[in-house]
Amino acid sequence: MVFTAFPKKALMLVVALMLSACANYAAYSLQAYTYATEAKAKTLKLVSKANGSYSANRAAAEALLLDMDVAYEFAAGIENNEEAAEIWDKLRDPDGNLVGGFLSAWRTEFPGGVSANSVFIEEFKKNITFSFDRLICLEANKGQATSCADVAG
Amino acid sequence: MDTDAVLSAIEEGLTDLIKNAAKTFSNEAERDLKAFVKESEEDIRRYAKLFAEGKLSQFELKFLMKMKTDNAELLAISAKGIARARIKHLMNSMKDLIVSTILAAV
Repeated sequence: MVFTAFPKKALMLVVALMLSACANYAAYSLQAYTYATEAKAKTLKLVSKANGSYSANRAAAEALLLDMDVAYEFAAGIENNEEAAEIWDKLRDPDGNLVGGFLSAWRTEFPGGVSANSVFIEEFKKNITFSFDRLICLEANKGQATSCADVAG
Repeated sequence: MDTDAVLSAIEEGLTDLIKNAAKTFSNEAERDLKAFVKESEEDIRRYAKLFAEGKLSQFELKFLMKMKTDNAELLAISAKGIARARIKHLMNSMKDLIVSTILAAV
C-alpha cells in the first residue's frame, strides 16, 4: 500500500512544482488587444490612400507610427510578454517589410503615390492583415484558448 | 478521505487535461502552418504573373516577397507566445482540478 501510493504522491509533488514554475505568462489586457485592433484598422485605412502622395498623408502616417511606438513600449513593459513586443517591433521597423517598411517606401520610393495600374496596395493589405491577425490572436489567447482561424477577419 | 482514490482521480484528470490541451494546440498550429504555406505558394505564383503583366514593379515584387518572409517569422513568434499562453491556461486548469478533487473528497 505504502509502496504503491508513493509514486502518486511524488507525481503530485512534481505537478505542484510545475504549476508554480511554469504558469507565468502575460495576462490578457484589453488595452493591448485594442492597440492591435486599432492599429490594424488605421493601417488598412491609410494604406488604401497610398495612390495619393505621401506628403498629403504625412500626418496620418506619423500618427500611426507613433501609435505603434506606444503599443511597443506598452508591450515591452509587461513581464513575460516578449513575443508581443517582438511582433510590434517588426511591424513598426522602417527597414522591414511591414507597416514601417511600407511607410518608408511610400516616402522614399513612390512619394507621389503607388501607380494606379499597380495591385501592390491590395496585395500589401492582404499580407498586413495576416500580420496583425497573428498579433490579435496572441493577445486573445492570453485571455482564453482561441483558435487563430476564429480571430482572422 | 480515501487518499489513494483522490490521487487516482487527480492523476486521471490531469492526464486527460494534458492530452486534450496538447492535441488541440498541436492540431491548430499544424493547420495554421499548412494554411500559411499553401497561401504563400499561391501568392508568390500570382505575384510572378502580376509582375509579368506589369501590374507590379520590381520594387513592389521584391517588397511582397520579403513580406512573406517577415510574416513567416511573425507566424513562428506568435505560435511561441500562444503556446506559452496555453501552458498558463493548462496550469490553471490543473490547479483547479487538484483543488476541486480534494475538496470533493473531504
